[in-house]
Amino acid sequence: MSYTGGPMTEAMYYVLLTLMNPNHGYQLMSAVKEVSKGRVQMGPGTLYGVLTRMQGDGLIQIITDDGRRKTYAITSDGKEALKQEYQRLLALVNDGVILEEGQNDE
Amino acid sequence: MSKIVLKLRPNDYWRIGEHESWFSDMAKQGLHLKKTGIRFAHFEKGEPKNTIYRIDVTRGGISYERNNLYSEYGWNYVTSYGKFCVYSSPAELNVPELHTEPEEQSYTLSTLETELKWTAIVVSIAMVFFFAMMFSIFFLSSTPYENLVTGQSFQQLILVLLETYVLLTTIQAWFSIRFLRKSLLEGKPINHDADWRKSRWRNYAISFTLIILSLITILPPVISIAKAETIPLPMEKTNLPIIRLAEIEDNPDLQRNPGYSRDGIDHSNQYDSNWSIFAPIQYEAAEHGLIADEQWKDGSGPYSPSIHTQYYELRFPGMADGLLKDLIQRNIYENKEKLQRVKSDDFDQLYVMEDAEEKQIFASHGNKVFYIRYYGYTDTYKILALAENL
Repeated sequence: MSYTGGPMTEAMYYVLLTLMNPNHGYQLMSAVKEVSKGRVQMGPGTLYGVLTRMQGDGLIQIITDDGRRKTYAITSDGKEALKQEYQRLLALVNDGVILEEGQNDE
Repeated sequence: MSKIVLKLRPNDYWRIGEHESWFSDMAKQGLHLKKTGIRFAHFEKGEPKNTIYRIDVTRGGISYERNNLYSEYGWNYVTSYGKFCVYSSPAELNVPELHTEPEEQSYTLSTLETELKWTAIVVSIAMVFFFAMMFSIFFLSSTPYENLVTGQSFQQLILVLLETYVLLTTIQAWFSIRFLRKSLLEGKPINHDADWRKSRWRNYAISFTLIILSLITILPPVISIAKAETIPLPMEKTNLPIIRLAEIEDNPDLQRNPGYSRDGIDHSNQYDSNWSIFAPIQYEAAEHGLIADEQWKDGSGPYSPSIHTQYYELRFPGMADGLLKDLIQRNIYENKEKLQRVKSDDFDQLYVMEDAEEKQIFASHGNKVFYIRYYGYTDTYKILALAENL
């Protein structure tokens, strides 16, 4: 299931975002919760799946592995994909500004 | 040692939600999952507990990394079957779900789906060859009844049923996982409380039938081999349903004409006793004699009559006609026009072929079928008279 530039799942987006700073796998779950201000609480199954998938797609990589703990970091491909997704989401939100205007009119 | 209880799995192995709710319900009854087999699951008897089970589909084998990560968050590895790994957690701990995003979970099933797809394709191709082979054995064989009676083709018939079941379930598994993935991609999470009771009787019936069919495939050949015997023909008359030379030749100078001997058995004067599921009583006897003072009329040497009997008692009298025709097919190669159908009160069907020295009789009566081949000068009708007593 290679990533071909479509919409990302929340898990994928937030893990990539969090990995802009290299992180241990174990810390990722709480890191994601922090970054999303408590909104996104990933299950360990989802985390493991997303890490495996994105590693396979070359969006993240392991930078150190001392046998017990792995440290993940985003790759340049991952940064590119993340930026594109951010732009896409931004476009969605900006285009939806009429929803705000609608409320102001009322 | 705690007591281990085995239970038949009530659903197909790929039904994730149903298995999760089944394991939980068993735990509430004090049966805690230990191991899973193909048809059964092993439970350890203990105190009733409220345990939640989740099944995670993996891409490869068991990963210590994953198991460690999961156990940090309250999910303990229990057992696995194929790519399906079972984790449990006590309900009171209220740990977060293993999978919080259905779409991401759908991606974890991709390797499984690919594997099931290729299995289905390979099995389908293999089945085409298999069915072609079965077809040729049954419909292109010149002696289908004889095949059934001597035992091999019955097993193959059952194998056809078993293999068809394998093919159907392989395809069903593939489509089921495909459907589940689609459903997950649409955002629908797996129903962890899926009703495992719904189709359990159907599944029990299938498991039971498969076990019976497997036994039917294995047992008859074993019994057949166990019961097969080759015994030297005694000089005096026996109770066996075979005709002896002494009865036919009616000559006190008749001696036994021994032939090739092996393991103490004279193969020119012996009988075989066999069993098959369609013909539980079968005898095949050969006897060779010699009357030194007499000669063959063509001057080829001393008179040495011989008789060969094949006798079958069938389980189903309906097969008698077919078997008789097959015996004729197998034993008459040339001069088929000399074979005569004879009306008889003593036999349901009677066919006779005779020339100066060789006399062949094919007959059936009820569920008994026999074939006699005699080399000698005694008249056929005398042999028939003796045959009536079989």
